[in-house]
Amino acid sequence: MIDGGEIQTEKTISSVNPADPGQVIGKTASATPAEGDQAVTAARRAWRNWREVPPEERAALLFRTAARLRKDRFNLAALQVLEVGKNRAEADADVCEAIDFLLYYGSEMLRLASPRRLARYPGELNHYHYLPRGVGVVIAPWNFPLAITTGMTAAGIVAGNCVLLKHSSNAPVTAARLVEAFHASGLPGGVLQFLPGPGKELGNHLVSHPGIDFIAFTGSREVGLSIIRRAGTTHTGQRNVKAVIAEMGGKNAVIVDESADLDEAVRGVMVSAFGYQGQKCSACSRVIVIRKILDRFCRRLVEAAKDLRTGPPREPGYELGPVIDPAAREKILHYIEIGKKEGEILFLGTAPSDGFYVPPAIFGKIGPNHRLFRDEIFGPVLSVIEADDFESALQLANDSEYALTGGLYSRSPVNIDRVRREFHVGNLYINRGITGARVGRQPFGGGRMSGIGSKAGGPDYLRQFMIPRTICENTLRRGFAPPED
Amino acid sequence: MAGSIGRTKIIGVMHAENSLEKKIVQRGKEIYSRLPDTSPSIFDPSWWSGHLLEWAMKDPDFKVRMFRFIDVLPVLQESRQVTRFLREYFTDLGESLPEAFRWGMQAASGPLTSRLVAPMVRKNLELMAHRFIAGKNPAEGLRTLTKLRGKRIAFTLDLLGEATLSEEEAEIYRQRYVEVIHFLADKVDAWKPDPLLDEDHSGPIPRLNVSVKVSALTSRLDPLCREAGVDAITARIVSILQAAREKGALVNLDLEQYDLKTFTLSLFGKLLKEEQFRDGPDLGIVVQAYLRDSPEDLSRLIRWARERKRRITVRLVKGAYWDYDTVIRRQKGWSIPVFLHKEETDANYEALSRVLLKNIDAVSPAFAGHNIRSIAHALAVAEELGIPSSAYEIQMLNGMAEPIRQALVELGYRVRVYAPIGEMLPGMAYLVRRLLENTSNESFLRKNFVEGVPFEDLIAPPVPPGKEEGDTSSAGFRNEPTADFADPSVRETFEASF
Repeated sequence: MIDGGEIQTEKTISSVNPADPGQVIGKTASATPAEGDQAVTAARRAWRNWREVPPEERAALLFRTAARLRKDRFNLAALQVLEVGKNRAEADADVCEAIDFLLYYGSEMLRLASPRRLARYPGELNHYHYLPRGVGVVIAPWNFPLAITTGMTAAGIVAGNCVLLKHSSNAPVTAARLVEAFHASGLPGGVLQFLPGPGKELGNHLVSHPGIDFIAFTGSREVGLSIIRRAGTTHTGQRNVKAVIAEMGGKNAVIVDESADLDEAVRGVMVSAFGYQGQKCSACSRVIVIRKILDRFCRRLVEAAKDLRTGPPREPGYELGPVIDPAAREKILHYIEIGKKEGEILFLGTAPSDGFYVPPAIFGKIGPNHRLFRDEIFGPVLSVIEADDFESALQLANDSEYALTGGLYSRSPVNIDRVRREFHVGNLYINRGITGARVGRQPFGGGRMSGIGSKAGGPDYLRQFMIPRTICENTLRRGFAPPED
Repeated sequence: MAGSIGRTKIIGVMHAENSLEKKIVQRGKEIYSRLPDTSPSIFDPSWWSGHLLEWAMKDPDFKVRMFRFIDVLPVLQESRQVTRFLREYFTDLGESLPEAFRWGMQAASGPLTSRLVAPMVRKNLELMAHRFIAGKNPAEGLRTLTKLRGKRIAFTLDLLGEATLSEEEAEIYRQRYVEVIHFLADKVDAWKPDPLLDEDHSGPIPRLNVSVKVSALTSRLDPLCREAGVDAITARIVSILQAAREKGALVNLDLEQYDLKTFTLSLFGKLLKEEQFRDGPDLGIVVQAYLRDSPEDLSRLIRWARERKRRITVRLVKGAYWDYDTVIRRQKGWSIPVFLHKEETDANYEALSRVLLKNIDAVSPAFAGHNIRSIAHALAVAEELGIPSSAYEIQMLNGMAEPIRQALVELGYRVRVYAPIGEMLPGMAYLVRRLLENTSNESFLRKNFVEGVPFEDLIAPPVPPGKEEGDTSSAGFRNEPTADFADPSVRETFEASF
């Protein structure tokens, strides 16, 4: 959709059901750099008006869009079950999170809308307020196809920017629904444009475009770093230094110490590792267990894993479904082979042969020099790492290029205090699972190679989409200043 | 004319209410006057636990630390670990900690001290746990049950264990129940007869009585795969029922947190209809008075009992998962299914007691609890309806309210004690929950035995607050509540969306 009009292209994108790849969920057009250029032009034009729309109206638009999604929530969830292979609970949670982002960022904009008066001195009026950056591209992932897409898009729009949405080709139908919902709620066509298309070609073109002022990205570290590099080059005709809001990957660890409640720890690790087949940047892929309880923990973990059933999420009886596409499947199977060589199989499940399935796997005897310790696999593969004591467990946990989520199961007040101070992740969870961050309650994001530290669903997020401005007026004339308010 | 008739009617109703209240006070006094000066053992200050609880009730911060420490104790294998955790939990309380509890923390920190202190701590807590837990295993349990029999008290047995995280663990649970039924059957059959315990108003009742939690019998409790969970549980519960039928035992299904209720009740309904169980074993179920929909549940159960022409035991409890059902559900943004005020639960308990007694031809009521008012109310209504005391019973948890228990036995009522059997680890979790109950501000036992609240106040009828308070949880961003898949209409709507 460009400037409010639907464009047909020669090439199309087919979105298939990963559980049944013969089933086409929907088709979208496929944008090329030429369409990208058109969209940027339209956005820049639309921005001249959109930047003048009062923040209250922009927020109200988000609230209307939220109401629309809420009415349609079961359809949107059912769509995700088919389009990206989530089970019902995961799909439903994704839709709820999308609604949360709209409501949260809408209220955040209202909070940030009024200019702030700084440092009261007579004769000097200092104001601090925020302005939108301009036109941006949102590059959105398939794994939270509605939630994350909505978060980045809503933040961009409510802050007064125009957004080009370039969504992953694995879930364009869900993204299209969001765009429809926004437009049906009254959003002008040029403010949100929909450009499904191939990542590299179209994405790179937009990122480099001089008419783009910011990029909001959620995805892999490789792509994230390349976007940051590309955006760092300033082209002729480019007015603004580009801002990049990037959330990338993780290699997240849960520490289980000897005082842990094993009932809770096993449950929490299972959900965090295998929820949505491990295809979450927040997923637990390392569990670091103190030697003393290693055997007991592993025994119960493996027993619990034996109960995991993998099958089509359309049927209610399966905890695990397929992974997103053949490339993901290849990659995960490859890592399972590496795991067999590097460590010891504690558990290897089974998976159907039709559809993009991989079996869940748990490896033991993994250490810091192994690839399974370091590489983000993005699948249902969990590594168990043994630690002598808490000190080394903490060290092992922090030993990563990533710093997204992490957790501790412990009933030792001293250990709990230590992770609060020394476990360097953006989202630290104590005595609970490490996935399922909720908007407004557990703002989400991390540092190091997991991102620039922007926290989605938190009070600092919206500011990244805006530029603060200072206005200072000398109100003294002929020695006369207006009375103080 | 109409006015004066109306007035007479109103006065008539008030008179009847007053006369019931009089009976309740009478029954209450009978029990109360028989209470010895001693406290229930758990509060007894001459016991170590008495001191502990006294302190816990005075100091909420200490209480939290104490219960968390007890909760973690079973996983601490070595003495050195115990000492370390004592320090972690209590050292910064320093001077404010009473002498008796400093537990050698200020002494030298060497292994010698931990070798002395840790076993003492563990021993004391084990003693405390043993107040409530009938034994580590069936053999130990039998000793406790025999002692209870000697005091003319019946039992229902529960097996404690860790959470069932796999189907293998569920299988182990099933086996334990079948084994304990086989182990105890001959032994309890050999006991000398006691009509108080072995008969109700219509004939003999089973001596061997077990209670089962369905959540222990499967790891598949996800409401979305209910069918898988039901199948897994059904096979196991059938196996337990077969053993029970063979040995003449009664099997109760316990109720747990709200999201399992519909499932548990429909499982119970299924079992009632099973052809192979037409002639036994006797079955029992629970109704939780703190649930708003408990009156509907009770009506349905009574209807099933009549339809199937099978007498069922209904244990009426207040409910023990209040925190879970409010805290967790609030976090999810779901509706709260329980009454928010204790008086509402108490009043509902009384209303449900009456329903049970009015349907005495179809159900065997078991009034569970430790509150003299609630008990006296049931006794008084039974008397009012002309129901013999052998037609119902009173149930209490092992280790709680022994003085009240003893008084009821002396007065000729059948009292049954809920007796858990299990190892230290699940035992400690059970202990923590019982201690929390006992020390809560709302605890009847605390009010009576610790605070000395006067009898008139204790026996007064429960008065629910007039207006329901709004949601008192703190302000801030509220998340969109996720779908409650335990609700069948939600599952249907989702299915239709495909």
